[in-house]
Amino acid sequence: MKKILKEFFISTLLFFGIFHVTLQVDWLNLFHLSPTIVGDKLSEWVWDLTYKGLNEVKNDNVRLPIDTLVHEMCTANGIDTTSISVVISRNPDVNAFATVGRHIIVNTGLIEKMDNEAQLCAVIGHEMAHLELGHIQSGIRQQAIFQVILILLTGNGNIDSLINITSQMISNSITRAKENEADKQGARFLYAMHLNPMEMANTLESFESYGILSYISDHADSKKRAENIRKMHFPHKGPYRQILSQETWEKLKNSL
Amino acid sequence: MESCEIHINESSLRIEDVVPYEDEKERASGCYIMSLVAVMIGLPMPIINLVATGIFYLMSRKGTFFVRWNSTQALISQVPLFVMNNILFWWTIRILFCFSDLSSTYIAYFITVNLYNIYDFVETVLSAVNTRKGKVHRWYLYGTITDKICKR
Repeated sequence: MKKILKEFFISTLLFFGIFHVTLQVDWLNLFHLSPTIVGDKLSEWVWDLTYKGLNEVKNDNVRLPIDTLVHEMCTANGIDTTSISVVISRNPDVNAFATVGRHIIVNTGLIEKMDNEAQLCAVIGHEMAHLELGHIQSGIRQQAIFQVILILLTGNGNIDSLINITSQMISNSITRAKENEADKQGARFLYAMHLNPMEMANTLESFESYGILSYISDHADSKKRAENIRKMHFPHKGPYRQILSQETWEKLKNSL
Repeated sequence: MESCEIHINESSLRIEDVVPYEDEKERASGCYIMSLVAVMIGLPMPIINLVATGIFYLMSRKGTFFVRWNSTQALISQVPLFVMNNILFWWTIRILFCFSDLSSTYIAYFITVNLYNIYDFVETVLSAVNTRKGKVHRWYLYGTITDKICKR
């Protein structure tokens, strides 16, 4: 028995000794790997698929004003503008969602419903808040895996349905608490860029009145969420600025 | 054949002193080959080699001392491998499914376990070859444990 214990001790020591030695090397640096490399590669692949399925609006009358709003929002809130990309998709569904690789997709159907630039900023701000607060980074990678499995199982790339499933899953994976957090952060983003933060509440209420189910996941809760925004305290009460001229806003709406 | 009649029923006999019959050599060698084949077939699923060796062990339980001893050693050698490979397998799955991030600790563990797998592979091949020749290939630690477990 003593011999077994001795040999067991030596074997264990040898194993953990080798493990300890290998632990001393910073393998990630050595092989130039990032901790999230698997998720990142998958996300890239899923984004390529998603992008192929989108009908991107490339009209400057639409893109430039949106880019201006995004740039203003990022600058006012200390976010790297180049890290976020907003893609306008020609789609009548009133929907917008953040997806892999810090992309935000905004449907033309949603822009049409917006009364003013502040409301549009509220929607973009809400999605940007999800990205900035890290709500969907890990979840989104898991959706990417889910997409990969779906593609492997079905053996096809019926991209449209995959995008729908994934965007639904993403919104389902975000809890109500996180939605509230994103609303509040979005309102702060508006305030920092000198837009009326209460437009976040107005937007949520307008979705309630339109009876829109798809956007910001939980329609039934949107009235309550708007109330939460109204309870927030913002010292400065206006007047608020207008970023786009009325003419540019009209052009944007007419070019959809 | 002549040599098989010597010492055959002495309980104090060590495994090294046993002179096996031809079919015993074949069956004992088969234990190791089985674990090798099972490792190759079931490489992604670390349970398969343990199950395969376990089945072979159960089949050899009523065999002669030489066969039992070798099948026991083959089975015991698979247990730590099973534990280590299982940890590695589920850790890899967690990374692939993005439940955890890739880390230097994972790579260190991956290298260590693979070194152990290579050691195990070499030992298994040597055991299979030597056993087929009628010699005993005693593994460090596992051979000693087998001596304790496997009685004549």
